[in-house]
Amino acid sequence: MTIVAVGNETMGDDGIGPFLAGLVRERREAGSWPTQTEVLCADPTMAVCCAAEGTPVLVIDAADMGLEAGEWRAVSAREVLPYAGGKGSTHSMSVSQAIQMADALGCLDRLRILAVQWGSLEPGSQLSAPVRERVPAMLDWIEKEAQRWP
Amino acid sequence: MNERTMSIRVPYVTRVEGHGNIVIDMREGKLVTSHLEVVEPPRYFEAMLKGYPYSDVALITSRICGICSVGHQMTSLKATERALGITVTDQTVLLRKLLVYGATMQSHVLHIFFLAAPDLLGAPSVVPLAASHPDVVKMALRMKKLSNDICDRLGGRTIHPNRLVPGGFTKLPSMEDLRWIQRMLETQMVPDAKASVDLLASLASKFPAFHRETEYVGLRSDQEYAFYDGQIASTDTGLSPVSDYRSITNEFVVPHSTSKHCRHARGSYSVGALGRLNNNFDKLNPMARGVAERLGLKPVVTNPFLNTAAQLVETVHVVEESLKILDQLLTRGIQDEKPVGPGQLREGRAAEATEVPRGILFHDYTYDNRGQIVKANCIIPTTQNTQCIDDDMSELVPWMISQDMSEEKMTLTLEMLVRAYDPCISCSVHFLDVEFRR
Repeated sequence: MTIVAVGNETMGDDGIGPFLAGLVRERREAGSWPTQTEVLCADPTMAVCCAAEGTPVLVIDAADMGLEAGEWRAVSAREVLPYAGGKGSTHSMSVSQAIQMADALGCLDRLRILAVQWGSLEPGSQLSAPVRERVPAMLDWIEKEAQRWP
Repeated sequence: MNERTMSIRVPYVTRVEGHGNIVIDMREGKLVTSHLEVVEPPRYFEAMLKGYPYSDVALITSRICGICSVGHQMTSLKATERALGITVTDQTVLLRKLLVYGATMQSHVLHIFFLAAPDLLGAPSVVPLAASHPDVVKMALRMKKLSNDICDRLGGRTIHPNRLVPGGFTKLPSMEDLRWIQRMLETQMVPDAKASVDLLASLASKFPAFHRETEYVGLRSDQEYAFYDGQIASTDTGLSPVSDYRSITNEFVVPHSTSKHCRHARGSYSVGALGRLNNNFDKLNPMARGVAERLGLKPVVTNPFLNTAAQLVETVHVVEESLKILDQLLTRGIQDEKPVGPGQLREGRAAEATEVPRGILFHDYTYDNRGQIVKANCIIPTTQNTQCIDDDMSELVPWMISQDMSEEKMTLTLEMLVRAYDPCISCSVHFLDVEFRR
């Protein structure tokens, strides 16, 4: 499995993806991660690249789902395809567009999304307390996912 | 006689970086307005740099752009090193060139396939293109991922690399990294680049046959097709030292754009893949030269739409150039070198230039004797192209009318023109003189 972590570590909870990716990388390098999970901190285009090459991909991103800060949902890309649309940034594709492209390329079922409800996106800040509290649970879930989808 | 009255408005041109509007007004056959309006707010990066120590400057300026982050970092490092009297090793230069070539592949592939190809293949964007031409998009994704991986292995990240510092690298790539890059370039990038050439050659008739003579500017070096270093070359006026860059750029302000405009020997000049190709054609590697000839590019190329084709020539060239460097590095082995320090800090000023994907990039820094920035100036390629885009539009509109194009086709062609320059619009916006009063 490849993890594609989307977000900016200097924008509060937007950095949850890179933060979790860093923890996975640390554990992998310390030999305490059970699989050869590849970790990329990159834009969502890379998720489609990997999926198109046949690799299962877990995209981790902060999202606004109307939940309490720190709550998270894991969904298949196919589940959220009906809601995909909108625009990306001027520098890269959005997760939503990546889902649409994966569908067009026939690799949608290799994409899963871990979406984390953000509490604060304050520039220059780190993860908010509610999101930080959930990090161990998220990491456990990612580890199980990596074993299920090695 | 043409007595046409028409208005074309394209608010927020898509498939470009940043926000810009196309504004065309013709009244009774007379072209009144033909502008690319840049509507991005100023960035203030130069002002932000004031007071920062030399060790932090390249990491900050890298953030000017998410696409040309390597180019900004490289230009910044070179300016800092020259100002402070730091001389880097031969190995550092080779590794930096390798990274610049990786970033050039990264950006050119993005532009050719994700931004320009939908126009050539009749799709509104790359997502529908993935449905209609999945093999093309899969190939583009492979090329993009490999170039990202090259930047990651050399610079520590796919964008905004964190291993480059004044004087060298904080962490060097391993021999295994270099062997991996070599293997992937040979087995994956070369075949994909050849297939890309076949594709673009088959689409050559889709480029509008519009020509406008202008001045082309790019770096030129005696040693190689210049990306990392060189003198400023102009197809009109020949060579100038980089330290004289202001005599080339001559920035000025126009009412319709928050980006400054530039002019030199004529009313405007062009930088980018065509600027480089027109000044460095004789330095192309053999395979790239063959590609240029196959795509009908021979200097001086005066069709701005062919900038995209020139980018493909350069993609092939940098792959060949990367393989040459990898041969050298793998033969001699990676030496465990620490970054070279500045020694005794001193006051200094230096301007440096690098060819980034969209053209020649200038950074000019003045340091005080504590190694802190006193003054900075960064002139980005798109700033240098904006007047050229306006001038192209002024001739393109009458040309399109002479071709009996519908207004819908004209609108698309104008968008294609702007996209051909691969503009980085939000990066083009800078103010030189910012004064904070407290």
